Amino acid sequence: MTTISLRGLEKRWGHVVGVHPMDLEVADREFLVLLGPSGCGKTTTMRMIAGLEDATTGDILFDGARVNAVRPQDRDVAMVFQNYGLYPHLSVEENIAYPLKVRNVPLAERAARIARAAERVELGALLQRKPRELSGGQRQRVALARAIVRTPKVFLMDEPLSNLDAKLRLTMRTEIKHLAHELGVTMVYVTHDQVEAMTLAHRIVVMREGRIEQIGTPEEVYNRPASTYVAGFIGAPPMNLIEGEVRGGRFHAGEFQVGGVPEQLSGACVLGIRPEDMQLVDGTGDLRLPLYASELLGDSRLLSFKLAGSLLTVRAPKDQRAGFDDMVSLALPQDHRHWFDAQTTQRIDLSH
Amino acid sequence: MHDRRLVLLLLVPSLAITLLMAMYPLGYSLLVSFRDWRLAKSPEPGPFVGWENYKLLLTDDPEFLASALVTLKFVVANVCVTLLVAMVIAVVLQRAGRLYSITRTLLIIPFVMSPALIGVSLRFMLNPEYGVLHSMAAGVVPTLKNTVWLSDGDWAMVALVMADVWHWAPYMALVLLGGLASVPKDSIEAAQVDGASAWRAFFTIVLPQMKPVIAVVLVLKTVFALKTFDMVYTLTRGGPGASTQTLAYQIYTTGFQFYDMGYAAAAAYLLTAVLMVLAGFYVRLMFASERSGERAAKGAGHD
Amino acid sequence: MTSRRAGPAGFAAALIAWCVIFAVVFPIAWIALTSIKEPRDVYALALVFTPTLDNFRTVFEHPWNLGDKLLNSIVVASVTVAVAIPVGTMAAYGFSRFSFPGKRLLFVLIIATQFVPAAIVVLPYYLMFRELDLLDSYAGLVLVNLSIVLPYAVWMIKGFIDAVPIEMEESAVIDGASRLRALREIVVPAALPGLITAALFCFTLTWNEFLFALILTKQKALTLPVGLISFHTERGDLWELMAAAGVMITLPMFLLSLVFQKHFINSLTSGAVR
Repeated sequence: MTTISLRGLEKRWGHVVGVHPMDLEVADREFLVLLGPSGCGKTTTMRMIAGLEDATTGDILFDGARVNAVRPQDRDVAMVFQNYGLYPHLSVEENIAYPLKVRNVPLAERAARIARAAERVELGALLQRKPRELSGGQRQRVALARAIVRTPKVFLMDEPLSNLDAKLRLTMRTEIKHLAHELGVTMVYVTHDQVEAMTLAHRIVVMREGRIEQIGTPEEVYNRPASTYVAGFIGAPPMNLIEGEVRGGRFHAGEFQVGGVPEQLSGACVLGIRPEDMQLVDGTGDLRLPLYASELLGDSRLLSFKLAGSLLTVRAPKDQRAGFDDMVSLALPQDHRHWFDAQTTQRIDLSH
Repeated sequence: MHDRRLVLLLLVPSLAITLLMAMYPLGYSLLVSFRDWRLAKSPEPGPFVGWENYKLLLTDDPEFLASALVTLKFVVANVCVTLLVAMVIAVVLQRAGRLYSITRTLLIIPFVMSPALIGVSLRFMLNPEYGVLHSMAAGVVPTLKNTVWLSDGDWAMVALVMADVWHWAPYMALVLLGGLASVPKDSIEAAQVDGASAWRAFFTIVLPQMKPVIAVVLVLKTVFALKTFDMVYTLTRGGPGASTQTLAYQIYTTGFQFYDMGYAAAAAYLLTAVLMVLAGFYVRLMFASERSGERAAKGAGHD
Repeated sequence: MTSRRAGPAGFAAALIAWCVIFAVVFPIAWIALTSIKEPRDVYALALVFTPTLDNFRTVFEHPWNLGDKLLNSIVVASVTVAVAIPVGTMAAYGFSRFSFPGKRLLFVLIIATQFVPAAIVVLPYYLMFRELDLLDSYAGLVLVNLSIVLPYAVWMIKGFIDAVPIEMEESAVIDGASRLRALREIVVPAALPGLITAALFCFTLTWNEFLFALILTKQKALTLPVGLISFHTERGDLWELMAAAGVMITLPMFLLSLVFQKHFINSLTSGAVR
C-alpha cells in the first residue's frame, strides 16, 4: 500500500514561485500523470516527491507518514530520468545491479533479480554492453530495468519517452502501460504530451504556471475540461474555442450568431466545441462559412474555417470533397457545446 | 540535497592549502613592505618606515621606472605577437589533411617544455661563435655576422619575446582552434552565400563570434607575461644592462641579490596591484559567460 | 574542419604549416643533437659527427648528479599530483554541485592566488620554511607546488564535473547511494578523462617549476630545472652537458604528451573556452 499525499506543497526560489501551494492525493497503485508545458511545475513537483528538491512549505506524505526530512536515498522511490541517467562506465548488468549493490543485497539474490528485470524489458542479450553502445530505446529499457529491479514504493518517470523517435515512442508507451499494470506500483509520470497522458493515466493532473488546472480521469478531462486552457491543451486537434458574447439568448461572435443558448448565460463567454463533434450538414445549419483549408489525415479529413479572426477546425470523413472557398454548412449540436466564462476562463457548469 | 557539513568537508582541504599558502605570505610581505630591511645587515625585519619604500619606488627610482617600462614593452610586444601568430596558426591548421593534423599534434610540445630550458637553449643557439641560429642568420644576411645578439639591448628584447612566443603561441593556437570550432558553420556559410569573400567572412563573421575566447586568452596571457621570470633568468639575466629587466626579475634581484627585502616587497606589491586589476577583468569575463550559460540552461530547464 | 582545394591560399597554408613544424621541431632536434656531441663538435657547429653518450654518463656522475635531481623531480611532481587531484576533485565537486553563501567569492579567491607574482610569496615562504625546517626538503617543495597547482586543478576539474549530467548522480542517490558514494563511484569515473587531463597539467607545472625550487632548495631537494643552470660555470658554459640535462628534463614530458595527447589538448582548450 503506498499512497502519496501532497498538502500545501509549495516550491519557491526567492521571489520566483515554481509550484504554488498544491494539494494532491495519489491512491495506491494509481498511474497519475502530471501534464503541462515547459515551466509549469510538473517536474519540480515530482522532484519534490523524490526528495531531489526540498519543499519550501507543505508536506509530502507516503502512506500517511511525513517524508520531507527523509533523504532521497532512503525514500525507496525509483526514478527514470528524461536522459536516463545511466552510468556510462558500467555495463548494462552493472547499471541494473547498482541499486542492489548499494543496498548490500546478497550476490545470489542480486543475480536473480537482475535476470528477472532484464527479462521483463527484454534486455537479456545486452547485459554486457556499455550504454554508449546502445540505441536510445535500449538505453531507456536499461533505465526501466534499473528502476524495477528493486521493489520500490513509488515509481517516478520524468518525460521518459521524449527522447525517442515517434515510432519507438508508441511501442514504449504500450510497454510502460503494461509494465505499470504488471508491477502494481504507484506511478507518477511527467509529460508535456497529452496523448501520453490520455493513454497511460488513471488520472491526469493538468498544470500550468505552477498551479493545478484540473485533476480528473482522461474521460473527465476530455469531456468536461475545467477551463479553456485544459480544453485547448487536451485533444488533437484541440477544442475549438470561440470568443463572443451572449445577448438576448443568442451567442454573437463577429458576424456569426447561434441560438439555443441556455438562459443562465449572459455577457462575455467562450464557446467550445470539439472538431469531431461538429457536423457537416446539407442546407442550413448553425454556420455557413467558406473553406479555408482541407487536410487529409488518412482516416479522416480536417476542414478549417476562419471565424471571427480565429481558426475553426472540423473533422470530416476522408472522402469529403469541398474545395478552397466553397461554402460549407456546419451544425454545432447542443450536447457537445462547452461554455466558459471569458473573464475567469473557467467552465460554466450547466445542469440540464 | 544540501548537506552543509558535506560541503565543508569537500572544500576545506583545498581552501586550507591554497588560502593559507597565499594569505600568509601576502600578509607578511605587506608588513615587510612597510619596513626597511636589509637582509645582509640583520636577519630580522628592520625599522618601520611607513610608505617610504612605495614613495621611493614611484618617484625617485629610475631603475624601477625603467623596469616598469621594459615590462610594458615586453608585455605589449609579447601579447600582440603571440596572439597574432597564434591566430594565424589556428586559422591555417583548421584545414583537414595529414599535414595539418600532424602539425596540430606538435602544438603541445613547446608548452610542456620548461621555460628555463627554453631560455638556456636560446642563449646557446644565439651564441656568435657556435650558435646555430646565429650562423643561420649570418648565412642569410651576412652583415649580421658580427652581432652579438644578447649584448644588444634591442635584440635581447626581441630574443626574449621570441622565446616566450615560441613557448606560448602554439598552446594559444590550440585554444583558438577550439574557439574557431565553436563558431557555427551556418553563419559562415550564410556569409558565403551572401557573397562575402573568405577574408571578409573571417573579419566580419568569425572574429566577432570569437571575442569571448580571445578576451579570456588576452587577459591570461597578459598576466603570465607580467609574471615571466624563468626565461629572463636563464636567457638574459635582465641584461644587457637592464634592457630586459622586467619587474618580476628586478624584484628578485632586489630581494635576493641586493638583499633589500622591504624594498623588494613594496615593488612586488605594486606589481600585484596591477595583476589584481587584470584579475578583476578575468573574473568578470568568466562570470559573464557563466551567467549567459546559466540563463540558457534555465530557459530549457526544469518545469 | 574546412577543406579547400589547392590554390594560392592552399599553398600559403601548407607553407605556414611547414614553418610551424620546422619552428617547433628544429630547436628541440638541435638540442637533442647537441646532447650527443663531443664538446669540440658542439663548438664547431658540426652537422656530421660521431655521436657519443658520454655526456649522459657525465651528467649522472659527480658533481652534477643529475640522477638525484631526476629522482627529486619525479618524487615532487608525483606526490604533488597524487595529493592535488583528490583534494582538488573534492573541492571542484563542492563548487560544482552545491550552492552556499560566499561560493563565488571563495572560488574567485582560489583562482586569484595564481595572479600573484611569485616574487611576493617567495621570501615569506623562505622564512616560513626556515622556521619549520622545511628548506631543501621534499615536503616543502610539495607544499609550495600544491599551492601553485591546486587552483588550476580545482578550476579545470570543476569544468569537467559541470559537464557530467547531474541526472547520473541523482540516479545514484535515488538508487540509494550517499552523495560521497555517488561522487566516488559515479562522478569520478565519468569525469575520469578530465581528471587525467588535470593531472597531466599539474604534473607539467610542477616538473617545470623553477623559481621556488631555486630559492627554497640547496642540495638535497634540487630539481631538474634548477640543475640545468649549474652547467653555467665560471669556466664557461658546458653546453653539451646542458643539452643532455635538457633532454632529460624534456623527454618525460615529451613521452607523456604523446601518450596522453588527447587529454593534453582537452585540458588546455576546455579551460579557456569555457
